[in-house]
Amino acid sequence: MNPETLLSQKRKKIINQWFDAVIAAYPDDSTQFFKKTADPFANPVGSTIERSLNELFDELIKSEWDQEAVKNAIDGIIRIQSVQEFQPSDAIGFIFSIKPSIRKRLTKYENEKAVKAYLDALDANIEQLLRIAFDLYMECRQKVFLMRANQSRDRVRQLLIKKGYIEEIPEKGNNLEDIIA
Amino acid sequence: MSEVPKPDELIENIDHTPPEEEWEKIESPITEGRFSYPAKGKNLEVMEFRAPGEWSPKDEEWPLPDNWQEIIHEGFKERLEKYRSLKVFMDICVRCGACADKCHYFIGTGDPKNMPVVRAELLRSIYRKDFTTAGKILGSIAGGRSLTKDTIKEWFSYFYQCSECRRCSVFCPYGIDTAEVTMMGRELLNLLGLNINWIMEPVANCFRTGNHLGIQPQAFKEIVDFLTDDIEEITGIKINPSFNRKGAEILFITPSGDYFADPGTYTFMGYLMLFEALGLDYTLSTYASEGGNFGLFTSSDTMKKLNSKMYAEARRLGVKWILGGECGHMWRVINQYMDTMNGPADFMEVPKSPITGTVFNNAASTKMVHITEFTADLIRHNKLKLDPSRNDSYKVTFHDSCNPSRAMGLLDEPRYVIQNVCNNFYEMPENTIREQTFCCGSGSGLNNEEVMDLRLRGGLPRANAVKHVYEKYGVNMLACICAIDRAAFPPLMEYWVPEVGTTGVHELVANALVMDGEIERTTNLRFEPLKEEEDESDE
Ligand code: SF4
Ligand code: SF4
Repeated sequence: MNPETLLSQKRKKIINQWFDAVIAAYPDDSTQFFKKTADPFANPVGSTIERSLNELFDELIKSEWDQEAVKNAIDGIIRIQSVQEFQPSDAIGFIFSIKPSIRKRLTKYENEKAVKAYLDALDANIEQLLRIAFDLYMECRQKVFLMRANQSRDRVRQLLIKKGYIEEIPEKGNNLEDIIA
Repeated sequence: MSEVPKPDELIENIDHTPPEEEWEKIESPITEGRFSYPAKGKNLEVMEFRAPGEWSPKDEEWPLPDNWQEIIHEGFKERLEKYRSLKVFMDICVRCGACADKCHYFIGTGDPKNMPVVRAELLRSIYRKDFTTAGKILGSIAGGRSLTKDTIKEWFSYFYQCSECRRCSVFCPYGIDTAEVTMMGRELLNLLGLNINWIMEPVANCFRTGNHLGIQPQAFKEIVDFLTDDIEEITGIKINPSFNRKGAEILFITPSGDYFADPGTYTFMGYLMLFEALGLDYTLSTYASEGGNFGLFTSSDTMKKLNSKMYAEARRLGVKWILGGECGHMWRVINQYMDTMNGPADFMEVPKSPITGTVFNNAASTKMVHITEFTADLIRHNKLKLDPSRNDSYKVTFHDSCNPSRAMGLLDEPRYVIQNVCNNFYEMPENTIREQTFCCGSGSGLNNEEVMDLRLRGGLPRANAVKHVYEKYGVNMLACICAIDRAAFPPLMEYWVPEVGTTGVHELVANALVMDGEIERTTNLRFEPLKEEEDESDE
């Protein structure tokens, strides 16, 4: 029994359950909207989550990942949830919620050596995903705070520069010779 | 007008209903990132509003006057009598839910209280309890709620999570305009002195000094001089615009965002270059140095006061008509409210383009023409020499700013202008443009830094459509005709689609505009080289 093939066969079901678990974090009244509105432009949150989970699933069950694809898939959800008032642990929590539905599919075969090894590897992979998700979450939050700070700083500074009250070092190059020259 | 869905189609397609759970029971915490900071006392006092002293929305106890319930009740009553629309909007909603999933704040947050129908219900439930017979007798069975201190907190939270964009109204079979409900909610909050500083400060500055930032007349002139230096460097042409010149034919008014911050400044340079190329007889005013009207987000009285300043200046200078720049809500005020508040502006003439002779009958009463109407007319009459290849480094898409599109139907003029000055133009998906356009997420005074999180989630539907055209066509420039957009999009794009920049339409016009006597242009208005190859060979 090849666990990867088995999971691929149950792909749709597993992803659906995963999706349901992820959107359960939203108020009851919006889960139907996030789930049922198919137009990605009318429903960017639901459609991004769906796309991300699909991409992530395909990478996760493989033994070799495409790092870039994994990062992009996680970024889709994290970028949204990090501005949606989630606690940090909840924002990265969607990664955990795939575990039960994968395990459910494989418990029958748990005693097979190959399956056991596969599950162990999967746990390690999920841990790896969490690390990536946490880094991305921090990156997003940092960006938000930087933009907040920049906005309050630039509002008047641009004017002062324009009026010549502030003379900044021109942006010619990064080394001193360039600036002095 | 573009294709707006018909009411029957809408009703057939309704896929969402208002909350099943009673929405009153849904908690709505007041957390950092979702509320704007309260207005400072000095700004409230200048505008003769109650100033409640220092407070924070996070405080348990808000600084309400003792008779706050009476103030709200009387204020509500007065407005119901004064505005038939409010009474109608309170009465006729059938809670069909067509609007429920059309608000960008709901789409981006999933918070049921951001459904337009529920937002309006915040006010409507009080109306039912206090002003309808059934409500008075049956109370909550008739959908009525008592007015408590928590109601006030909820109002403050959700009426300042609505950008008054009016997208929901496009989908309501009854034409209920939740933005107007929000406006009334904010007016009532104002009676208690509960406003946000990002609105009150611009209002107070505009009232006192003439523009949102309080830029003094001499400083305004200096900034414009500085921009004309840049124009000279790029085109070899020195422009000397006049200020406060009596007897000029046209008074040009634009939002201050166009001259105090990039990328608005490039749009401002664009206006000046266009007027110079035409030899237009126009003047700028250092007193009416603001097109924006944050009174719209405050109260009708405040809106009226700020709007009247522009007309008072037009009268003082004796101009024939007013040309207005790329501003959003200035046009909503002009088109929807100016005439009843301060109009008709009979002391001026019906605007007529001195270049083409076109009479703008649509502005017969307000005497104020939108610059993209003016420029589209010039292009149509072949009055401009244009070289669109100068914009070839840009792949452009156009964001219909909520106010010009939904409040004045200005849909085709900006597109016509862009398509004549750029070679690469791509539309975003149909249900995200024209009347159905998604708000930038920062309108109606919500473009402050403290609600950056709210802006990013509210702006997601817009950014998501931009991302689509970026991925599909390589779009790298988002054009708009609103100064709030030009301030709101740079961070929104930086977060969601960092490859895409922001521009005003007249920046693109000026790039393409071939002016008599200009030197060979090597850069665009941003001092970026026009041809990449040349740049490389230079190095
Ligand atoms: S406001 Fe209009 S669209 Fe929304 S629920 Fe009421 S009737 Fe339906
Ligand atoms: S006016 Fe705009 S922001 Fe306000 S409820 Fe309607 S769609 Fe939402």
